[in-house]
Amino acid sequence: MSLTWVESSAPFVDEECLIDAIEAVGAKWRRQGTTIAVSAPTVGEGITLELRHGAWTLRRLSSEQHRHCELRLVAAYEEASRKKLARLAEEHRRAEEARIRQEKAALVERRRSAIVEKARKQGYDVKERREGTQIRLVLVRRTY
Amino acid sequence: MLNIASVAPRSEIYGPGVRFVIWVQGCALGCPGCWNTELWSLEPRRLMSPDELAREILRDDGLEGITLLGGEPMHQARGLLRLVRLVRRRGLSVMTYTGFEPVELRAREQRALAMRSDILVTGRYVAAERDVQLRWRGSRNQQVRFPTPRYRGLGPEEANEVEITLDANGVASLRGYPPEWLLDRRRSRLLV
Repeated sequence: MSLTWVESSAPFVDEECLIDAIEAVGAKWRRQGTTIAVSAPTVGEGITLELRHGAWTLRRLSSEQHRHCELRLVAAYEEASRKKLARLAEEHRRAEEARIRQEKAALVERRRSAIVEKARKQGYDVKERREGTQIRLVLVRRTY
Repeated sequence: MLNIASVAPRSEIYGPGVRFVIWVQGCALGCPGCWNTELWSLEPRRLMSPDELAREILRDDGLEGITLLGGEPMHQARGLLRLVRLVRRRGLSVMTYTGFEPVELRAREQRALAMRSDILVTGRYVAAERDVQLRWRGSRNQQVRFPTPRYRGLGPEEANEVEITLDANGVASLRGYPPEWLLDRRRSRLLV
């Protein structure tokens, strides 16, 4: 009986997600150059991934078990991709929040400095209090 | 119940030291040129019992006292008198602004509130007498009085005092008697 190989039409573009997916389905993997050999619990050998044109293409034996294994791997890859996108979005959100916080702090500092400088030029004493996130400036100029 | 327009939990320009400042809502005097016309309406704004407000004030143990302004505190003399009793028991001083002259304070509660204020600023705001170089008041006819001995030794030093608070978003709020280099009054915006 001859063995028939089937090649997946949907390559795995993200290596990190691919490795996560292989491990998520309980398979072992071994990388040699541009090939990853996968050994899955139910089917053993018979699944390889080859790096072509910057993405990993799956080749497997045509058996029903190998087809099922591929389906599980694809589902696990999609889940890993979804988690990675969510993580990246969260990282991006945090970085953006930190950037906005820094910009606001710089804005407050510029405004504080401008007020203090202008007040002193006008002959005012300036007392500064920092309470939590607030800055309170008390400007006093003796008159009569 | 007290009808409150707003409060500043910590301020240093309405009397000696760090003070909890309370702007009451409602004033029937309607001085022409008044800076706080939005506080004239007698409609309820933020209703609080004197005890509730006293609790809020007394949470801060770093205060020298409270300052009552408005609006017209004497319109709410009864409730404010209760508040004054509560905070004085804890050693806080009281400063009260009123647009009334002392002889106009006819109700018993109004006279009691005046007499229990350590500092009392009296008299209408008169736009023609406006002077931002005065300490604690906005027009020359207004008088600073000391009904109790607590601050009688304070010198009559006059000063222009302004307080600016910057929050974490860079929003500035201003209190006091801003000079022209600081505030475009026509457009209500800071020039800095």
